[in-house]
Formats: sequence, structure tokens, C-alpha cells
Amino acid sequence: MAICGNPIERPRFSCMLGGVLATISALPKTIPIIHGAQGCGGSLSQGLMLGGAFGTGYAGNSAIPSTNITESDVIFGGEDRLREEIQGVFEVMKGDLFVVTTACMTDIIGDDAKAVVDSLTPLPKPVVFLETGGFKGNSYYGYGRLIEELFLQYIPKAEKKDPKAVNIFGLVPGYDPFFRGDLDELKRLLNALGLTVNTFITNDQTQENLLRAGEASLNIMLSRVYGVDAAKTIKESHGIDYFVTDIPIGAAATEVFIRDVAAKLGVAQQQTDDLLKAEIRNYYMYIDRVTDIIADTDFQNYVVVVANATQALPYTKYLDNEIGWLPAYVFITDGLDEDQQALLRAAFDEIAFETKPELVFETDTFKIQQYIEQKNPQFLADEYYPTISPAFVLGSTIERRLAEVLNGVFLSVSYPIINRVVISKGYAGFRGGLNLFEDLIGALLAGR
Amino acid sequence: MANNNEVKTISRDTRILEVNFDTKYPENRETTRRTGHSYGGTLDDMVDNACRGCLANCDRTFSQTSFCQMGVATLIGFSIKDSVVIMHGPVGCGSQSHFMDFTIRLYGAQRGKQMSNARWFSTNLTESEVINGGEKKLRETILEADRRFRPSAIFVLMTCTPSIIGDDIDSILDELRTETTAPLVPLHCPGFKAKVFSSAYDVVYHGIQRAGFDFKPIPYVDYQPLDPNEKDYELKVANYEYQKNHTVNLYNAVSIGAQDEAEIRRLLEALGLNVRFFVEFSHPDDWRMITEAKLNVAMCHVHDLYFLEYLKTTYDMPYLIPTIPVGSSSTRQFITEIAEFFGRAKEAKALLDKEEKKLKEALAPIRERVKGKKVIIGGGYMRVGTAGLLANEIGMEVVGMRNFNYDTYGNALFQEIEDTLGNIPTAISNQSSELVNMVKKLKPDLAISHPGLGIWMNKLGVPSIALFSQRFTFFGYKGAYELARRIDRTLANRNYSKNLSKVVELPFLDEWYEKEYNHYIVDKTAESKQEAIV
Repeated sequence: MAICGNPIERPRFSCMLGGVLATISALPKTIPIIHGAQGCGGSLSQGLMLGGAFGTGYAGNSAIPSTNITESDVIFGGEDRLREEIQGVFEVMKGDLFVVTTACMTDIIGDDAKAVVDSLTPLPKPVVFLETGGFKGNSYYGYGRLIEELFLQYIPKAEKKDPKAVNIFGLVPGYDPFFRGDLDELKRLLNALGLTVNTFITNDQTQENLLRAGEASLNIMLSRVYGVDAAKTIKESHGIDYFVTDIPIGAAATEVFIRDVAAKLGVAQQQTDDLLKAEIRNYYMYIDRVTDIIADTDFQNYVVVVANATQALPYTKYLDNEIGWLPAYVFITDGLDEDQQALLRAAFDEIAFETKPELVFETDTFKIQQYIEQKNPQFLADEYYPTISPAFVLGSTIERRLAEVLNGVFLSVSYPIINRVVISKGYAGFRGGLNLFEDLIGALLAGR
Repeated sequence: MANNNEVKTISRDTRILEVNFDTKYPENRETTRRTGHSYGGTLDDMVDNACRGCLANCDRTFSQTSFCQMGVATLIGFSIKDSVVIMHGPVGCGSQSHFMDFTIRLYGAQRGKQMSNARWFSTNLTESEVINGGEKKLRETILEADRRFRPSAIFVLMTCTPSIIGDDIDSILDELRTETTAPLVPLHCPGFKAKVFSSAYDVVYHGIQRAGFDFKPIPYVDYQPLDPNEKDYELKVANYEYQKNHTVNLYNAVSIGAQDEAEIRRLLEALGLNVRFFVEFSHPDDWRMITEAKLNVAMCHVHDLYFLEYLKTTYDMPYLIPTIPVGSSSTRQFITEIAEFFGRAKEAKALLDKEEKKLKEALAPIRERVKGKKVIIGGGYMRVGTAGLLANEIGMEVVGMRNFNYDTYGNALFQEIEDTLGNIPTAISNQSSELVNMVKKLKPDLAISHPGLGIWMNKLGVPSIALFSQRFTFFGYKGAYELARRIDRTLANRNYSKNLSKVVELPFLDEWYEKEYNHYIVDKTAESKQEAIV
């Protein structure tokens, strides 16, 4: 299990239950039922708001049914309370799919929530069960486990695959704050190749997408680490191959992504070429127009990227490969085990950087700033010395302080984002690359 | 200090508070105040049930998630200047706290206090600690927090997991007290131990009281003692006594903003009083001056009663919990009670008459526009009640009240509300299903909502404003005018919620709306008695 067990100053993720609730809240008309104390769902939903104001939605936050167990349930067991709650849920809540989850206290006391669910079957709507005690892992782990259980318990196996259908996984709602815009853009591009795309967590999705996910020929994993275990399970259970890659940001990365996927799905070469030609031309017509200000003002920056394991490398790659900035440090802030770190290090080494930054795994907020301060001569007194200046920091809202210390400019792109809202914007694909460039230059101009 | 295991019962009218400051942690408010968290019916019936102590017996057979005392317990800790907060639990507990970073810095700055960033740790308990105990990690985290930040205080929050596995934080803190420079504050706040999440405030003040802070100034550190042989000794003593005897401490809360404090300060200073605010946005060193005042006053009864009771027991300081000064009637009561204590009732009446007259004139045009509009109010009951009186003051019709919890401390206010507004539909609920059900029946034009629930009003096409927010003024005459203006301007354009409600789908079955909103609220004690009989 992927959890690094050190104490953390200001962790940028929540627990397994937090990740599961975040994901459920983005699934079409899916309602969680928490067997736990009354604050788990509410507090974790407040935490989800930190993903760029990703709010209640259809049945999140205060709508989430919860057994709200008390001390006497902890002492005598809370199974009866869960049974009562589930009965109430089907009298009050309107959903297409329900997921019974647990919390730390119910897992520790050993309530057999699964037995309660089984004893009530058949229920009026499909119910998936999984144990989600927060101490079992972090929010990213929860995401992966939920995907896995959806396939094992709910999504039918399809004998016949649709050769043009794909599922996309890897982005965790809220904790990848731009997941909707990112997925919308990738879906747009893959649709243009004639592919059918299930994202499960964007606005256009219904239960039909979940129920037909078994027919897909490929699972595209947009994270090197998150959901990959689920992809392995799904390959066994549903016979769907998977492709682990990164979120493609900007023209160069997106071209590679499209060509990779097209090749795996057997899309005609001409169709792919035509799409890419039109997209790249369009992309650079926009870039061309903004180049006057770039040329006249010199907006090249040294960059510090602080993000999760899914986003950190794609952002850094874009900054170096696409817009010609100079990455200095990449901090990956998740609790990762050694295997996961090795996977990311390998992915990092694959990137053809002009300026290879330093890759650091650090969950602790204080140590990120301390690391830079202790390594850089600009914090020593001398007359001439190289600095990471002009500096730009891409991170969470927490990194505003780091940007101040480096006397640099700052854009919030990773969780927690509390200084702006994220609605439909994404940074993936061609449109996303333009969005990101617009926001980067926008941040540099904001003081005007 | 109270004797070991001595339980004091303090009666104030119908108010009862049982406190024992020498236990490791206080009981929840369901127990100490018989606070109810589940009810649906009418105002008079709610008050009647509160009096008979049976509100606290009610619970739900279908419930939705809300807040826990652990989350609430972080609030005071973060707002103490230069503090560190440690969540002793799995990484999800308290993970919403990134919000606190901007709130304490911004709202500190509004008070002229430069706050540090919100600094907090998670001990990040995993499966291994669930089996082997989390004490080692907690010890390491406390030492690291002290070494790294040299904080003014370290608040250690005990979440559900370490409470169940039996981590002994009191022993750890006692052991580490000589090793850290920061005072260590133990907060026993596992979420499952209280449904009334404002129990957290008792937990926090209990911890503060146990952490060894001084509440008295230290001679030669904070002041130079007077020498009886000094010239003018008697005069200096008299001066000192005069100042102290005209000083009042007011206790703020996360729901109370800098402008609220400024407005109340303005009114009390006009009566010749010296006004100070505690404990939020102050440094623990400042708390040594708490006893250099004649009177303690809670601005939010939910927040500080436990601490004020402690100061009374230990330092013989009297306290008042008048009401929340929202709207002219409650502001009058608030200021008058304090003024009477200091023998300034006559001056207060003159001041308040004048202020009220000006406010009334200012509210007149607003009243013309909003009168007859229906409003529903939800949140903490003193806020709900006083905002209801203000809504009535500007001619609105209060069609329903939804208190998050309720106990007899509200009876005086809610009696006034019944006399003024009638026996209106009243719930004790923070449940979204019950809210939506109630609103569908009551059809209000506007909602005043506790943060977190306004979303449902908007989905239903009803614009909603926050019941409290440090961004705006609520207290006193300035607050009354500002809140009335916000009501007025919100009603002036309802397109946002109107448009949203046309399209958005609610997650509740039609059958639910056919039931009463209190359908799942039962008397759990009656239920278990019945089971016993069967």
C-alpha cells in the first residue's frame, strides 16, 4: 500500500475516504453512504473545496448520507445503525448508483459493513461496497481502489470489445483541480479520431458510460502511479489493456499522446495527421499573436514546480520543452513508496530537458522552502552570484509564500487552490496548453 | 481551583452548566447542557422540550454528514497568534485546514495583528500505528513543531483513531512539557464523542486551562509593583483600581469579525469603558492581562461560557452572556446588561435611544422594499434568533428557523421571538434533506444560512446570504444596517439562483417531499425502552 508514514506539515492530500468521496461526487448520479462519524464526510468535502472551489455538486458534502455513529456505537458496534441508515437512504435519496464506505472508527472496531449490505440485498439500486478507513491510505490510493471495486462489483464484463472505445483514468477530482477541463479536451481530440471515450467524471457522463466501460479496448492512464494498480486488476478481470502515460500539455506533448493512442487503437495514419496538422496550426496561430509581448518583454523564467505525482512532470516538461523556460526544481508532494518514486524518476529521466531540474520528493511544506534556501547561493551574502531569478513558482496556493521568498511570480495549479476557482478550464491538450500559457503570462502581467 | 472530582452546578435562570475542570476532558454538550441536535416542530414545543431536557434524547434514523468537534476544535488554535496545530490522526483529519491560512492572516490584519501562516501538522497515522500505537509519532511531531517554529503554543488534537486505540496524549504532553518551549495544549476531540460539535469549544478551553498558561500578570515582568512608601501611593492605587474597574473583556469567535469588534467597542467606549478582546488573534502572553478587568462578556454564548466559568471559579471574575448583539433589540440588551453592571444604565439608555433612532430612519427605505418578503434562517441558534428579530425589524416575515442545535440558554431569546414573530416552524437540524423538504413547503424569498448550506437554497431558487462572515459587519447598529442592506440588495436581483434552479436536479426522491421533514427524528431513549419492553 502506498503511504509514506512520516508526520507531515500541511499535507496536500486527504485520506482514503477523502479520495473516494471526491471521486464519487464526480461520478454520474452516484451517492456515497458513509459508515462513520458525522464529521468525516463534511470535513473531507470541505477539503475537496480546496481543489479550486469544487463544491457540493449533485450529492456531495452535506447531502452525503452518513451513519454519524456515536460513542455507544463505537463500544457496542454500529452495524444496526448502518442497516437503519441504508433503509433510510432508499426512501430519501435519488441516485443511480450507491457506494457504501467506511471510516477509521468503524474499521477499527471491526463492524462488518459488507455483511450488512449483503443482508439487505436486493436493494432498489446497485450498491458497491468498499472499506475506506482513512488510515489505510491517502486520497489518491482511495481513488484507485474505488475504480478497481467499480469494475469488480459493478461494471459488466464484455466478451466483445469495441475496438474504438477507450476509458481514461488517473485524474482525481479536486486533487487534480483541472480534471474536467483536461478530460474534456482529451475527449474532444480522441472523438475527432473517431474514438468513443469514457471519462466517468466529466459533466457529459452517465451510468451508461460506466456500464459500457467493459467494452473498451484500452484504458488510458494519465498518471504514472494513480489508478495503475486498478488498471492491472481490470486487465485481469475485464481483459482491457492499459497504457500509462502523462497528461499531455501543449502542442508537442499532445501530438505524441495522440499518435500513441492512435497507434494503439489502429486509427488511420492520414486521419491522425490531418487532425494534428489542423490543431497545431491553430495552436501556433494563437501563440504567434502573443509573441510580440514575449519578444519585447523577455518572460523567460526559472521555475519551481510543486505538484502531485500526476501533474508535476507534465507541467515541468511543458515549461521546458514547449515554452522554453528553465525548470530549476520539481517537488512531488505526495506520500509515495520507493517503487512509485522509482517509476516517477524513470519517467523524469525520459524527458529530454534543455535544462534538467532537480527532482525532489517532499511531502512536508516547510522542507520545500528550506531545501531551496539551503541549496542556493542567493541566500548567502556575496557581490556576484547566480540566482534562480527571475523566478516563477507553479504550485498550490501555499507556494505563494515560496514565490515571495524567491522574489518571483506565482500561479496556483495544484491542490490546494484557494485563491481562484476552477470551472471548465483545463491545461491538457492544445487548448489547455494555450490556457496555461495565458495564465502564466497573465500572472506576470497581473500587477500592471 | 476546584477540588478533585467536584462537580459544580451553576444555575442562571434556567441555564445549567456542569463543569469539572480537573478531568482529562469535558463531557459533550449533549450531557453537560442537554443540548439537542435533532428536532422538527414549532418554536414553543422546542423550547418546552428543551426545558424538560428531552431534546438531547432525539436523534435520527436517517442522517447526513456534517461537522465534527475535531474540525471545530482547530478554529481557536489556528487563531492564536504564532501557534501550531497538530492533528493527531490519519492524514484526512483536519486536511481542510488550508483555508485557515488566509482567514487568520486577513482577519488578523484587520485587527492590526500580523499573523503567521496557518501552521499545522498531521501525525499521519497509518495501519501500522493502528496496530502499534501512535504515541511515538506524536512525540516526534511535537518536538519537531517546537524546534521548527518556536511557536507560542502547540495545540494537539486527539482524533477518533488515537482515541480508540488508546494513545495517552496527556502523559506524552506532561512528559514533553520540560522539553518544549511552547506550552502544550491537549484537546480531546474525537468526532464520534459529540454530535453537538460546538462541544469543541469546551474541549479547547479545557485544554487551555490545563496547559499551564498564566491568566494573571507577572510582577516585574508585566508590571512594576507599587511601593507603599512611594509618594502618591494611594493615588496610584486608586488610579489603577479605577482603570481595572472600568475594563471589560469581550470574547470573540471565528464568526465574529474585526468590524463587529469595532462597533461594540465604539458603543462601550462611548459609555466610558475600557474594552479589550480575547482570545482569538491574541498571543498567549496577552492572556496574562485577562484578570486585569472587572468583567468578562461572551459575545457568542456557544463559544466561551466554559472559559468564563473557569475564570469565575478560579479568579472570582464575574461574567455575562447577554446575547449576540445582532439587530437593535439584541444590541440594546447586550449593551444594557454590561452598562448596568458598571452602573452606566442611564448613559446607556440615552446612547442607545439616539443610535436606535438614527438606525430606524436609515432602515425605513429598506423596509419599504423588503417588507412582507419571506425569509428562512439557519445556523447557530443565537444568530438565528437575533437575525430573525432583525428581519422582523425591517418588516420581513420569518417563515422558519433552523437551529443547528438548541439548549435552554436560548430560552429567553426564543421567548422574545415567539412573542414577536409568533409560533413559527422551527427545526433543530443541519441536514440538507430536511432543509430542502422544509423550504419546498415554506417557499421563502430569501435564506440566511450557515456556511455550507446556502448551496441548497440556491439550487431551490432561493438566494442565500451568510449568517456570519468576517467580511461583513453584523453587530450593533452598523451591523444591523449593513445586514439589512445585504438583504435588500440580494432581493433586488435573484437571477443567479433562479437560473440555477431551473436546470439543476436535486438528489432527493419525490416520496421524500411527501413526508414531514422531521420524519426520521426519533426519541432514541423511548425507542430503546420500547425494545426492552418487547
